[in-house]
Amino acid sequence: MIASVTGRPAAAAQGSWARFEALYRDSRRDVYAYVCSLLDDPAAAEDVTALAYERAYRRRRTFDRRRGEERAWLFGIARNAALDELRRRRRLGTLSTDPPDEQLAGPEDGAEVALRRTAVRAALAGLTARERELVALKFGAGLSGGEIAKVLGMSETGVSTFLYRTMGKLREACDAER
Amino acid sequence: MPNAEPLEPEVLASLEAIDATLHGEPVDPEHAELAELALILRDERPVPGDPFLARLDRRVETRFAPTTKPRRFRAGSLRVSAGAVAALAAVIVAIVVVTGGSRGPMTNRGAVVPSTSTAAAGASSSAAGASSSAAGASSAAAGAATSAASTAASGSSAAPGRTPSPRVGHGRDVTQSARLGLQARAGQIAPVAQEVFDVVGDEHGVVLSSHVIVASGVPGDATFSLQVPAGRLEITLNRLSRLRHARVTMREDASADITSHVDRTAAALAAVRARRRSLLRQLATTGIPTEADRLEREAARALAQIDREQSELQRLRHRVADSTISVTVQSPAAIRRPHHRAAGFTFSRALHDAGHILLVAAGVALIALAVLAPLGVVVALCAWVWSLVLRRRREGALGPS
Repeated sequence: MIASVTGRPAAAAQGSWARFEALYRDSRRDVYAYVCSLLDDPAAAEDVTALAYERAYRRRRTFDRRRGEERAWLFGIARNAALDELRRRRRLGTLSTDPPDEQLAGPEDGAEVALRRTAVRAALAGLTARERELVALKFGAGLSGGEIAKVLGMSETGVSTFLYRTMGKLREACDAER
Repeated sequence: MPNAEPLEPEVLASLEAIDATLHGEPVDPEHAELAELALILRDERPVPGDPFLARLDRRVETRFAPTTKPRRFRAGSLRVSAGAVAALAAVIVAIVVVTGGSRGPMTNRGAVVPSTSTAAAGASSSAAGASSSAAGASSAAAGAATSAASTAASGSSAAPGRTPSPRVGHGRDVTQSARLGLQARAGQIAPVAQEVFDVVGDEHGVVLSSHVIVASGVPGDATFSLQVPAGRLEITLNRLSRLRHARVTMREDASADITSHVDRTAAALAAVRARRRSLLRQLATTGIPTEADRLEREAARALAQIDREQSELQRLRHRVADSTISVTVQSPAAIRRPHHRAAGFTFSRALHDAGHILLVAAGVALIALAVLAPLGVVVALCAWVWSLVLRRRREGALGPS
């Protein structure tokens, strides 16, 4: 821990650092999962995740609790960083991503479960980018409906309806895969 | 964002089933398939590798200390620098405006009098006096060399700095005027005034106006507006500078070349005279009554114009032929002496100075605000537009919805 200031400002700085550290410990895997889902590139996801935390650290004093929870704020930063990366890729015309994981199912999975996973992956591939993002926020990052609404700039009702339709679409696609 | 409308029961039940599944709680068999899908989706989420997490932990522990890589350009520092530059520019503009305003009168005077020179002498007899040339290019006196006539005061009087005056002649029409400041003791105002009258009379000049105040208990002062032949201006000033009971405190000479003005007026006069002669010739030969009336009217107008041009020409020649001198005589008590005022400390003086400083500071702040406020609005507008554009681009990067 670095204590560069003294007195009340130092205490405030320590307080904001402690909050940031707790947020980081609580969310690092979720942020990575969300960013990786958006980019579909584990290596780029690592860079963007680190960048998102660095940005969050630099802006930690600008966080306003009245505008939402810290997790929603952090995922908003991560989303912007990931979208910037997508834009950069689009400009450069590079689509270099890691090859897909050949291991479709865990060793402990049975044949039925493996088939189900394969069907779900295929169904996910058929979703739009926004639907995949919603799935990533809900199941990858584990955000609540309210937090997702803050991140996407939608109403909570809109997010619920959107999620319901997306799940329906996924189920239909999975059934069609079987 | 507020929830605008309630969810349908089916939607609500499905979402509750998903949430319950993710929290490890049992769900209704009706939603078993949905629950299974939710669990698979959760298990499918990408998992970061331990080496990456270890690296990230280290970066967080060091609070994202800069690495050896060159630092990326930071928009924040640009904003701070731009703000500082804008503030500095505003303050400079404000200072220029505030201080520039105080030079206005001098500039104006220079515009009225094309060539002006001022010499002032202090009260000290030994001091040569601070000599300052006033602003104003001597464009009118271009080509005219300065005369070498001396106006040094004699005796114990201060010697004002010599003020060059344009040479009159070589076919140029130059007007000349002067201002003379004299200092006399309180009881000597009347004798000095008499000396001024005598000098003017000797030099064939006239006193256009005078104002002399001599009274007991009052310091007294006198002002004179004099007119002398241009050729005798220098000698008159020399004599006025050597009055027995007064000494020179200030002298200012001014000149203006009006040759072009005189030439234009003379040309206009010649032209209108020629026109009138022509009209009179036509009048003598015409036999048509209406034409004769018209020619008579035009000849009358030409005559009136001839009168005007002649008057103007005479006025200009009079200005060239006669020079004006403005003389001010003051006793020491009536002279404002700033160096006395500056000596010592009084509460009222300090208060006055503080008020003046506050006034100037407020003026600078106001002007700076006037510059910065519109600038700030423009910057805020640009930032808002840029944020909208950036948001749209980012959403576009995600692909169509």
